[in-house]
Amino acid sequence: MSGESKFRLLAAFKHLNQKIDMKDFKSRLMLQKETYLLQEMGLHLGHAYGWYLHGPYSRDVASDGFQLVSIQDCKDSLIPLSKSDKKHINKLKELISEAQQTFSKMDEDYCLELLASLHFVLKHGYPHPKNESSALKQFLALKPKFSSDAKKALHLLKEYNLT
Amino acid sequence: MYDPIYGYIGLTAQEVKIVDTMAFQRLHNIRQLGTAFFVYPGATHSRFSHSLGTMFLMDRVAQRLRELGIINDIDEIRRLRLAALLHDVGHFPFSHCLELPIKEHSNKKEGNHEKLSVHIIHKTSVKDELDTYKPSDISSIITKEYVKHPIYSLLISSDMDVDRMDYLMRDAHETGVSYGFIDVDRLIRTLKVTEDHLAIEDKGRQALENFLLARYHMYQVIYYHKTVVGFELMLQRIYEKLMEKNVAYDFDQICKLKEEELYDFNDSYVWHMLKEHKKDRKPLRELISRFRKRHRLKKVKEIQGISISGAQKPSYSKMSMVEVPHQLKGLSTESKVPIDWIFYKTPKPLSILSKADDETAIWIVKEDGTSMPIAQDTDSIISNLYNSCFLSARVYTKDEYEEQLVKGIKVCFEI
Repeated sequence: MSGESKFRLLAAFKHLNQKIDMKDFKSRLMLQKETYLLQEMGLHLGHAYGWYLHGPYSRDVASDGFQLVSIQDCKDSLIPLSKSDKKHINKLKELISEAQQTFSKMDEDYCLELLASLHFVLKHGYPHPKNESSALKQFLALKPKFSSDAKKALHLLKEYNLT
Repeated sequence: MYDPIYGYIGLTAQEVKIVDTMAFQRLHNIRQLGTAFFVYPGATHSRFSHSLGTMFLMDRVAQRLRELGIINDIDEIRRLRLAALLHDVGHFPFSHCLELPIKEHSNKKEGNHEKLSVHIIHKTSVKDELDTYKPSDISSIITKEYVKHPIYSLLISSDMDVDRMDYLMRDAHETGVSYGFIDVDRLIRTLKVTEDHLAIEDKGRQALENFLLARYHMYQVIYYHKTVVGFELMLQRIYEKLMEKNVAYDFDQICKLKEEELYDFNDSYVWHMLKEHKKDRKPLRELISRFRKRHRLKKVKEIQGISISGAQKPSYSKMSMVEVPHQLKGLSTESKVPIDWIFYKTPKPLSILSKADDETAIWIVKEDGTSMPIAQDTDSIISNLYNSCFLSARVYTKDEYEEQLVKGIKVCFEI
């Protein structure tokens, strides 16, 4: 990530009132999925994501995360966000909040993994699903643990224009 | 084809046709290691040989996975071979060196060599030679969007992917730096898959440890070499300025090139640009002159070391702030060094391996059948190095600005 992209991500997390934390798997997963969804919502950071065990994952985000942890408390480490950046970040906040109220589990990591993974299968996954029904089928074959909430997740993604 | 690392590499008739396309032949003229030849004169090997080598290793790994019953279809092996063969077909001149300026200049910052590889697979004569395969059958493996099984992504990009296996050995062979030599036969023979993770049997542990350390050392000695990095930074700045003047291709323009024009988008294209613009106004003229004459930048500040206790981190964190745009401007103002002559590099922290539960971590399968990430295996020396990583932050400029920039860094960043 270039300097500016890195600090925009830092600023985005500050706007989300979150510190970047890489201490455990759950916090690393959340960083991955939040960054993915922020990009898909329009915050251009230039990270390439691929399909891994827990859905969309970027090695660059993983290694940059460790770097960002060490600088996030430095004074003047933030750069100003544009109005549209803030709009995208606020949209993510709302999406996560709605997901927590809608899904069977409130855990943020569960919600993020479900939303990001389903989105990836719909938009980027290959073979491309022919329609929503086959997309859901394909997704549940890959991630059966989300069977109770997959349809709700799809509905949410549509509501937020992410399909 | 005869390869200096593996001996004979066999190609199918289809693969020969792909290799013979202009889009692929372009790779002969792109150096694998970018500007490293300034320090290691042997580093003139190309993306062409690396692509063939990666395909060779992918085939061996795929055959092993077939033995294990993970891949059952000959067709999947062919697709993996093609993906490995074409994974770097979209590399820019001087390899990773120009990736950053071209990406930053592109729409949504998405212009990278992987996207260009996808474009080439879908839009050039490579597509015609894929025959019964759809371009997406191959490009989706390269971009890690093939969702059938996460193992495909791991083979392309993980702590133990085929790309890395080849480049470590090839770079060691060509530069003469021996730290990159690994026991690839042992790694492949002891390869397993456990709980969807790539794993090694316990008897292959030493080969894996050696592999992980090899990468670590090669980064320190070659890829992060201070002089190599200095020339990279110079060339990046030059290309940025040439794009700003609209005389060098940006990503959109590259994608619109016809295959014959794309063939010429290689290292020679950049050398030609440097020659064409050697009389431009400063600072471009001076930057080009320095690059052509191997007149290196002066490294004026470096924070570097292995972070175990975290002792290095505060200084490293402060030094990293030079990347914040308004901090960089502030440094330029304070030191009176023009921004065009401040160069910095803070690469990602280089750890021996991924965090234990990271998606791309390698697991070890013990003799009793239990398995765990190697980072958690107390029998492995790697688990003792798990928390350490190599940090590096450097600032460069030209010699006459050294003193003022050092003072400026002290004032602005308190280091």
